[in-house]
Amino acid sequence: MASPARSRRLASGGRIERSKVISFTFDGRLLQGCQGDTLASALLANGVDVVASSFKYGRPRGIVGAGAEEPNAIVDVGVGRERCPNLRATQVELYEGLAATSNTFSQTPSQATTKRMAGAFSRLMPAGFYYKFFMAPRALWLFWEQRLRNAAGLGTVPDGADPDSYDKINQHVDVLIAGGGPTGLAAALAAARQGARVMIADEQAELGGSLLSSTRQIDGKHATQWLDETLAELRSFPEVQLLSRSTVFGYYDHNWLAVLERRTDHLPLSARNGPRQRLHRIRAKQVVLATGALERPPVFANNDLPGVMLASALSVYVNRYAVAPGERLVLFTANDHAYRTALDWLRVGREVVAVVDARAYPSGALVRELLACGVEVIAGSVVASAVGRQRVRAALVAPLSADGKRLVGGFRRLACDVIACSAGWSPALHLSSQAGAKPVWNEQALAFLPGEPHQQAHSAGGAQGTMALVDCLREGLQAGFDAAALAGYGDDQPSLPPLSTDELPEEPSRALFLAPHPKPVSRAPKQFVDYQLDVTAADLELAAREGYRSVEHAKRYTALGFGTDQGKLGNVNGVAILANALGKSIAETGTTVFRPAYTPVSFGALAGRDVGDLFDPERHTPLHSWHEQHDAAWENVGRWKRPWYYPRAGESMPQAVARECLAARRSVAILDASTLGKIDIQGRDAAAFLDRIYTGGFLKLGVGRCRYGLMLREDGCIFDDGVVARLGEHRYLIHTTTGNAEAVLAWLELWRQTEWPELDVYCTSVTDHWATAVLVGPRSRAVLSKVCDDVDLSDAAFPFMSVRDGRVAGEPARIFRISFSGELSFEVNVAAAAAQRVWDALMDAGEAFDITPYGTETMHVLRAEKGFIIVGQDTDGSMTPDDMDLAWAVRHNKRFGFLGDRSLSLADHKRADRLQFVGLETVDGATVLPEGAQLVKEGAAPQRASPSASSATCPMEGYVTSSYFSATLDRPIALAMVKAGRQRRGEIVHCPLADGRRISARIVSPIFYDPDGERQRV
Amino acid sequence: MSEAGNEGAVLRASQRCGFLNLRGDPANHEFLAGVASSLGVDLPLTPGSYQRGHSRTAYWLAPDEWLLALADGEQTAMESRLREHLRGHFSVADVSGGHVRFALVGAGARTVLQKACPYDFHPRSFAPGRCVQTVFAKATALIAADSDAAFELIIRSSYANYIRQWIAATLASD
Repeated sequence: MASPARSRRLASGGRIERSKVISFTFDGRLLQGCQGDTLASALLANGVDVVASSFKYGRPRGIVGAGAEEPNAIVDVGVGRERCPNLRATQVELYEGLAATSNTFSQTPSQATTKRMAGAFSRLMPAGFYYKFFMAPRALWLFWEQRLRNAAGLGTVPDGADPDSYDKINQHVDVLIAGGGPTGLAAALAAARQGARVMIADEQAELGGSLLSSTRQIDGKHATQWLDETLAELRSFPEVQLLSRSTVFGYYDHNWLAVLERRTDHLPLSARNGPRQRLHRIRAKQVVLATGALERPPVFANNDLPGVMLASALSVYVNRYAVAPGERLVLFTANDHAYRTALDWLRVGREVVAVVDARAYPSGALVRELLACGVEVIAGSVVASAVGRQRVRAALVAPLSADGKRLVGGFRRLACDVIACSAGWSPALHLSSQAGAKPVWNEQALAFLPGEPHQQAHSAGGAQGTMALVDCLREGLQAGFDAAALAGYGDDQPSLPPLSTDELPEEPSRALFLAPHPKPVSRAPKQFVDYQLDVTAADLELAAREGYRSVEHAKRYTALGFGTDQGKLGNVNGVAILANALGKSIAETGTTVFRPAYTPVSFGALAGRDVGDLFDPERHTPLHSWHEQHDAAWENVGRWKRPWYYPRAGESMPQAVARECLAARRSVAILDASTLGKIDIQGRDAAAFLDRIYTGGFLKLGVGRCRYGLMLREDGCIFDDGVVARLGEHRYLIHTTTGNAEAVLAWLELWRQTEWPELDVYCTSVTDHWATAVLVGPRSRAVLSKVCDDVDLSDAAFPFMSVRDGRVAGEPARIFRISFSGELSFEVNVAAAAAQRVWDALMDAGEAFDITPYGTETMHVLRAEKGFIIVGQDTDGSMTPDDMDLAWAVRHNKRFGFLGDRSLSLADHKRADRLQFVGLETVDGATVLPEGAQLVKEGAAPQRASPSASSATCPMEGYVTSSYFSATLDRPIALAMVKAGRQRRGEIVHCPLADGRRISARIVSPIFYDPDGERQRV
Repeated sequence: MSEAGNEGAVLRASQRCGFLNLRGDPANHEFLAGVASSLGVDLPLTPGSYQRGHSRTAYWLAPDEWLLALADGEQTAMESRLREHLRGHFSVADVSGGHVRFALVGAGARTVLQKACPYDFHPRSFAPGRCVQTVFAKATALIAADSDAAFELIIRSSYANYIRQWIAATLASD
């Protein structure tokens, strides 16, 4: 690119600090800017015209806007793990050492060639091109998608884990103000003066919005002076939060909004400290939407050439950043507002070639001011085409017919290097629309305006189409006052300060969307509607011709507004062009809906602190550190960390589990079962309550006795199980599975509170209170008797399935004689604080018997040897008690019945071929079946379900739910669900594996060990 | 004007204490009188508030549920005393092992809570004397306001390690 004839950086003016020079790179080129620059303003100051190669056609693109609307200057910032893709250069603040990469630069030569070819053959790439050419056959799309994405240049993901930290904070405010321009600041003032808790959030580096580039006066002061004074007053209120670099990106239900605060992105890497970004989750009583408006460019041929810019953006670069990105300006407008840009351009000593005004008789005060400067105003005309290759060289201007649909004269060529354009303004309706207000087309404003709010939202200023500064200020004050009053602050009589400005009055605009060309739209040079996705006016007309009559369908067909900019510049023009093609009004055509986020949000900010070790809480038992010290391998059970097994030096998992199992069967072993859910049930009707909840009978359970309890859902399927103990006349303790403790408590409360409020019963979770040490094995009584002398542990005094209170190692304890292993077993419960002392005492007492700590794997093997089910492993929510061979635990004909009782008589629950719980023994006596493996009949061959079926399958007989090697039995054992399995004992089934092996197994009883249950009763 | 973060706070484990979970009918005057005489503290009936007296505190958890914090070791005797003195339908459960107490103190304490919990801890909504059971990061906590810069956190024991880590990470990164 040629270096400009003179510096584009103006010698004076702007809000930049010329003494603070900043070095940065763009596509590897070392450049310099100033403190206060954005990447975009610095690139313009350096004469960088081309910043991107377009999405589909690879056309050169330049900077168009100055804010969130920018469609072209999408860059990656940072390198390696710090790389952040898809940032708008207009919103990236310059810092020392910033390294930015354009999408053009990150492409390989072959990708660039692909796109250049696409550009050359663009006539062959109409709307819906991808659908038409790549979608069939389906499999090939995956191939094409990969290549098209690479060519499109959508940014590059960082090449490692994000090194930054992120933060989230919840905020509650009376009034949230989205947007810190004049409207928002006025609203904040009014609300703050009433004493409300106010937050004002603005996406720019400084609050002020349009005031930062304004040359106007407010109440006789320069706009920036008014801004400084207003900010000073706002800062004096303790309940006001001012957030800059903070985008209100989402407006969700119940006045819940999300704000992304960029805290360190603007700093050199060496100066960054603390969270990079913070997500504010805001619950606001009232919301003021002061989001302003985005200028709408007209659509004309070759309007994507670098040098074609929004008029307002050009003023921002001149006034705020002191950059004049060119020499000779053609202003193309349909309103008075944009004449300021020409005046700004003249003020910094540049040439205004002409103003091309679509209106036949522009005569407003600003027009007269410009005419007085000797500038030619070409009225009733449009720029029909821009001319140039890498940059605008001329504008082709022609007169417009009265109906605006065609040209009525030949081209006049105006040599220029900048075309600033304005066809009007589109209120930034995104938040209002996200909150549920449907945008409404307004023919006077020539814009969609916010519809009736469905939430506590007040639009004000540019956000509802108000353009005059003085009106914006007044609306802001009123909205802030109203919002505070509705939030409970302030009196009924607003005493709002009068505000005045030195603005000149403006005359009406002319409707202008697509500037006609002598050739029809389909033949004219490309007239871009959506720059980011290369959608043209011709694409939209084609979509209409092909039958896409709904704006939502046309959007999807053409990809209008599908870029990361969500069509901030192009959508309204697109709707207007589509409406024209369909012969409908814009109001009838309507607009598409806006979705969060307003601008892209990093995943890091959404994750916040909940990453790495803090991704999900780990629950620890009181014995956790003991397990750590004893080298436990861990198993995650729900959120709990449970010891899985305790490998000794050099031991494999199977070896450790075998050792632990044999210890439990032959001597004594100990398990931390503190994670088991425990619920204390009290009240006069506790027995009646449990009788309704569980399948079994609980009315006659004696005090001090325990019973196995099975809980069903209403559908008759097993929900949970556990041992129920009666502690007193009106008091029970129920056990739940570890993973289901919360769900069971919620289930009990649901029935207690909503269905059976007449029952006097309370349920309290005591899971975390009790620590549980389970002693298992023939020597467990001997161990316990060493540390417990106030409970008679003999079988006669303390029989199987009973509970006693006493002291263990001096600590108050509750001892259950129950068994999940089939061995003699005592479960010792003590308060968590005493857990370690008691555990240590038990370990000491067991030393003589080589007491062995064991984990969940051994627990699983021991219970599988006994055929005890684990809810959630052997069941999946579709099993009835009968399926699991637990009919013995169900008592029908109870007085009140129990939950799920009636469903058990459903025909489907009584089918003879239901899956039933069985044991499996592998025929070779050595192979451990994989859990989850499918079972088929002997000799079964794959069959097609129908002649047209695409694949053949074997009829399935069932599947393996649990499978282990039993050291006690010295052979593999498995539990399975098999169709009508109980009637098929002795039958051989086959288990075909993915690796081609086929394992044969015999259906047997699920109880492999001690079938009469003698060992637990000794 | 206030800004989030950058203000100090410290998390300290508080002295161990006994906890009883108490449930009963607040419309039952005999029940309320029985608790008051046994405990020496009136049960708070205003939602989200607590009552303190000497070494005992009663926290409102739900319309029919309270958490009683007692001197360590006192819980067993107090449980018996309540059972003896209370009339009507009620429930008492010793949950001493189920909770641990922390103090979060400092100018930045509220900010830490704001980062962890969706509840509004502003003094206008959460003055000293208020308590709330709420989400804390991905766990839960009972939080009580002692003053504008001192909060009590009562956490389920099994989550204590997670919450300690979470707060430490938050304090370390600001």
